[in-house]
Amino acid sequence: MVDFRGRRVLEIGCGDGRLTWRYAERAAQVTAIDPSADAIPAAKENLPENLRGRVEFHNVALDDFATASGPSLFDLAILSWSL
Amino acid sequence: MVHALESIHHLLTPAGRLIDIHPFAEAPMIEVHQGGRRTFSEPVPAYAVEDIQHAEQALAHTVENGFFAVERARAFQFRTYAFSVAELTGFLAEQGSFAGGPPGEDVSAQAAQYEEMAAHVEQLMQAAGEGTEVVLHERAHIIMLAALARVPR
Repeated sequence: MVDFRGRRVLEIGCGDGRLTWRYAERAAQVTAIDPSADAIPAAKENLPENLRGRVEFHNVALDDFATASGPSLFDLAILSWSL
Repeated sequence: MVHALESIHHLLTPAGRLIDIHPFAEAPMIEVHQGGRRTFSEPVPAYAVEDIQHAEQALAHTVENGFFAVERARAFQFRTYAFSVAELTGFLAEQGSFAGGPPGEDVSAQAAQYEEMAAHVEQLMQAAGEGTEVVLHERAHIIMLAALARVPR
């Protein structure tokens, strides 16, 4: 259903990154955000070596992230069980 | 939730896509599986169905208001496996899935029903022995939405 190749992806509510690892290898760049302070350190720690440099995890709520970011930064946004 | 979707629209390129995965607005089933066989199945009491309904309404609202157009949608079955009821309950609490808060904090009749069912499932699992799993069985949607031309913010 989804072609990740070459896409800049924003994952909202990434939790510990369990979904992120499944597609990140195919994406050009992944920014994964979650407001939970517990989830992001776990996501960073568990990130496979080959994905480091391609995936960024941020402990931030969507509202704050959107306010601090410019428009049109991503080709694809993912909301997985997080709306 | 509408504001969140509008923020996502702002962050997407004009040809951008939003993938939304969310469960059906219904209580999922708690099942007990043993040796590949389902031995127990009941809907989760005290499940926060209203939150899902609100999310669906927000999504519909942004489509009606021209932020997104639905390109594709399909339903699928999603199962979360746990070794114990406590583990599954912790997972549900972490996801904010209980309508009145986590069991133990919520004093509603529905929360009491959940605790009663959890105790029953735990007994079933202990009686069945090794190789028994408790499973959360949900129906879910995956929807691909296309970001439409910018709407004045």
